[in-house]
Amino acid sequence: MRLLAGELAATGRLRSTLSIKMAADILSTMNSPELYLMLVEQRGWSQQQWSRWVGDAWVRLLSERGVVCDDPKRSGPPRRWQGLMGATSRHHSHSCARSCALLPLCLAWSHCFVRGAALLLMCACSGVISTPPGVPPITPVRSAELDCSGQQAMRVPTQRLSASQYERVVRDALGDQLRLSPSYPSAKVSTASPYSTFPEANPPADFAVKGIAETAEVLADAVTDGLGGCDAGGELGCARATLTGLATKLYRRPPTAEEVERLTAVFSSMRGEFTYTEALGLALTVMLQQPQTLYMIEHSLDAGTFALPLEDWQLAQRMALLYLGGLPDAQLHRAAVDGGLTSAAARKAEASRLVSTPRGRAAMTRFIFELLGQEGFVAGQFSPTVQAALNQELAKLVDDALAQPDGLTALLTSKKGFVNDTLETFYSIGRGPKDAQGWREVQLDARAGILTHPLLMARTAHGLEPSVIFRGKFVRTMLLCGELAAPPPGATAQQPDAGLGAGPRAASEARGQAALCAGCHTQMDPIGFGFLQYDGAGALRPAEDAHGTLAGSGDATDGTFNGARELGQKLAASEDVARCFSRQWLRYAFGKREDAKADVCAVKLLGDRFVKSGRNLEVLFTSVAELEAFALRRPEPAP
Amino acid sequence: MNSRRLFLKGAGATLALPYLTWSSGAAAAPPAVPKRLVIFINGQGNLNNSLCDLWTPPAMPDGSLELSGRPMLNMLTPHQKKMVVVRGVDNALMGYYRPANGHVGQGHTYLSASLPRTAVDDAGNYLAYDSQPPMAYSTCCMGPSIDHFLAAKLGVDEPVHLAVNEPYGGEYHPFYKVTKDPDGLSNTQVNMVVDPTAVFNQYIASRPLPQLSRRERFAAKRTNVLDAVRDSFNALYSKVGREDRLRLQQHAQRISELQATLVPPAPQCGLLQQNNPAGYPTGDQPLWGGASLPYERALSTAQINNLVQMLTCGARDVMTLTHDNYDSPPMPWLATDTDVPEAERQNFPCASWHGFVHRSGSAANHPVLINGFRFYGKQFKYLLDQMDAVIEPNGQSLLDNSLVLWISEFGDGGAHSTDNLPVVLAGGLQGALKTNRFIDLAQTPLQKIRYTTGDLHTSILKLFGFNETFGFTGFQGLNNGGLPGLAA
Repeated sequence: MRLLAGELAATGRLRSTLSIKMAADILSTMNSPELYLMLVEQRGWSQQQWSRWVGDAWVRLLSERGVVCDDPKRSGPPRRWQGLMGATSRHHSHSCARSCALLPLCLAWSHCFVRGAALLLMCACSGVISTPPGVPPITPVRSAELDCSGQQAMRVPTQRLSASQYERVVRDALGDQLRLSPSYPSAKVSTASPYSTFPEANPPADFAVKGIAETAEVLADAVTDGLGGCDAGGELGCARATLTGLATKLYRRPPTAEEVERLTAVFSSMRGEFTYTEALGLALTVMLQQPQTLYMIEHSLDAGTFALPLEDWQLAQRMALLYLGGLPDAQLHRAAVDGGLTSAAARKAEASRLVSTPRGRAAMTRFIFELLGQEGFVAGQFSPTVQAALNQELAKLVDDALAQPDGLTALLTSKKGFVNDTLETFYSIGRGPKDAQGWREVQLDARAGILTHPLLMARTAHGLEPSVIFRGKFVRTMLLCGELAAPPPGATAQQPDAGLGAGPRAASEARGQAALCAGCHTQMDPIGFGFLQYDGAGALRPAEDAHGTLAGSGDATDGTFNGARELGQKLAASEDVARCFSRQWLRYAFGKREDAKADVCAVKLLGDRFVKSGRNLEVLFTSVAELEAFALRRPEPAP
Repeated sequence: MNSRRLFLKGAGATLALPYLTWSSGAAAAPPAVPKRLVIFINGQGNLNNSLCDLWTPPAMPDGSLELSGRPMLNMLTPHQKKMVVVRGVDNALMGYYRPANGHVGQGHTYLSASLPRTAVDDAGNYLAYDSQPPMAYSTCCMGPSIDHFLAAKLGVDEPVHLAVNEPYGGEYHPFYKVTKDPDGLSNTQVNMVVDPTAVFNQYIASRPLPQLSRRERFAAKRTNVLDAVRDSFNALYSKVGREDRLRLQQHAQRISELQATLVPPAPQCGLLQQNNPAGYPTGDQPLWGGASLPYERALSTAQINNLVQMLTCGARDVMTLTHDNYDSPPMPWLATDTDVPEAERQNFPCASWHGFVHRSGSAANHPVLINGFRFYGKQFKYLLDQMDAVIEPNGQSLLDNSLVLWISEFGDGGAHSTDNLPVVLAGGLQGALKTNRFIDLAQTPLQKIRYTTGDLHTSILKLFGFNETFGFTGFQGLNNGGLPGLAA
């Protein structure tokens, strides 16, 4: 709602007395199922009456002068809202009809985009797989029905580096011993922005800017002594050279002359009060906070073209941040300098090389780590030692899956575990011989790959008590790419009472009978039942009934299952799951949810390659770089 | 932003600040900042008998303070929301000892609210009035002055007493330590310091320089660094699209907001440098006595600067500043002051300010007298201006963290009257003082309570959190437990 309110504000037609938050609140209120049910089901309004009334009310409530579209030249809604319309229409056609009978109104578009959008948004309805505002879904694109022969390019938002990326960049540029201050802002992931690479996960909040400033001071202070001296008389030239070198690394490209002069001016202004190296250190403090360092910036305004090719350094930046989590290594840098990244084959080869390196594998592990919702999450169930060991085990599981021809199946079904002394105790298994690093591979009969890994089980539990909701939601949204609306306001308070001591099944049944809750929870809870045998630390509770149901996909994944291992087998067999997994990787790589219209071919092509490869993870990870969309950028309109 | 940096520049000091801190967020407790007391004194009262309407604020329906119509106080209008003016505070000790003349007793007792040594025998027993020897210039009081008493209660250094023009307060000595002289009855007198340079060198410059780490010195440049960072954001706007531009603008806006929260910690005394104001005497020019009067305004400015810097850098938490013009020509520079009409500039009938005040019965003298008292008002305003310009680490100004008392030994110097002393309180004392008030405690036939300097100083103690009675209370009516209406 806030996104759409922001869209309206951007048109300049939002009522001046309303903030975006207030507008979003009004949208949420008017869009509430309670209002719809009261007027349509209780008061007997027709859907058409209701939708006409809502559209009119939105215009009156939100827009200046009660008119949103007073531009006679406007022939339709903004692109984002147009996408919503089409997507939501498709969606309603099969899953949203019961609670949100808005489809007829989606056709009422004439001259007022708010009116049309208002109708569409009604489908952020309670308890039904639905499109979150501004997030048009893409149904799995499997066949050749889509013509993707034309030029493909994606619009990639300018995004602030995540904390892990920033730290890696700093360490690569200034010294591997450096670490970020605790005050540096960590990513704030959410259902709508599930990865640290999303701009929305790294907002420029007050605390963030302050944390960045403090971190920059600490880092600059730590490296100032090593910034080198200069012969007397040539300080300015030395400083300029040093700052150019630092900027080349931190900006991930050669700085412009203007940028160098800006930094040199900082040096000069400080030199009178500070020593030569200290003045350089202060210039570095500035550099560490500049947008060129903090953000992945790819300048490109609308030049009248559909797509612009990325420059070599921009390609290297994309690849380095994705595959190394930091700066380009020497070979990637050389490839960029030599123009060796322009061909898809060259990028693919370079990506393969990078993924095979320890840092490359660590970067892939980070994707899985974030897929499992671990970014910013600290499980109270684990001691720091156990947490660290489990993180290491996850990395080994990803390494192992990368080595398998069908890596996705390994990720979802493997019984493999990797233990050190800590995890032998944690898993209650005996001591055994280990490799030089103190690890050994074990078979864990109850394990279903990452599905039952303790990190995920802890993330989807209330303490040690498993949450069928969280676990079902994870499968539904992250592995099946289903879109679930946020709980309506007051949902928790209005949760049906299943009675004191009711188990998870009884509680779920009560939710399934409540109109407000049923739509979404029938999509989540039956899947979550399959994990009831795992507590919040991932330990087995064999006495629990773990029969679950997977429905709604219309393919081989549909049906009942008994326990997480059977669920894993079903998911691994599903092409939709494979395509969803590839889509998650695409989202992570580009830091955005795919655009329903513009990005559909990238989704399809990447999914095709992953499926065709037999779900080989190395193919998936490296194929992103091979996409034409990876090397092109869709320009933004000029402000 | 009204920053400490700006103030110190304006106050004539060159200052190398230590590091800048961010002001506290809502969730964090603000850093502790000491509460300070400043007493500002001018001699000869305010002529509240003959010129009452020029000083006393009008009674407003809501009890608030309105100074704009009172020529002797209207220069303080910018600060009136941080002020309290009190009418009706008497120095009531006059009937309990024999003064040598019309000045010494008044001047000795108004800050101590205590009897002079001459009022008791060697055993400390009160002597009947007629049995007392006349009180002499050097007679000490049997109690500390409020400033020393408070400093001892706070556990901070003894106050330093700055003065303009004369170091001994004419015929009076208002400042007494908490310690006793060898006789065991008198408290030890403390003289004032009249040389601003000596004050600076002794109390500011001599303090050891702080040892700042490089990180702290880097942090001192946060404003410059963030300016440069924002410039970098600005330079990018024209090169990116609308959505990206909005995102970058949001970031730059947060930087601006962060800069607005930058608050310097208390500067270290050793880093301050004296920078004398224009007109400050050079060479061997005398700093007190009649010959110093051409420099009075510059000396006053320099002493106020010293006072504020000493408070700011933690050299003292309790201080006084006395403008003493007792025997000197009555502000001869007033003759050239453009505030005074030409026709009135020649009207200086006496050789001293004291003598001139005694001529207040003549209305022809009033314009120049008023300008003399306005001079004190302007000095007090300058003091408040400087204190309010200093933003301390808790985000409040030095003035907000302090209590400033403006008082004189007389109500009406021309009549040697100690009734109805001019009492102005300013500052906030971190919220303890209820400001923007005119409190009229002047006696009426129906009122039985006579509020005294003992009440005033008791109230000051209470505002600082010390619930005890101050001064001599051996006779009924000398202390009522404090003044009403001051506490927030």
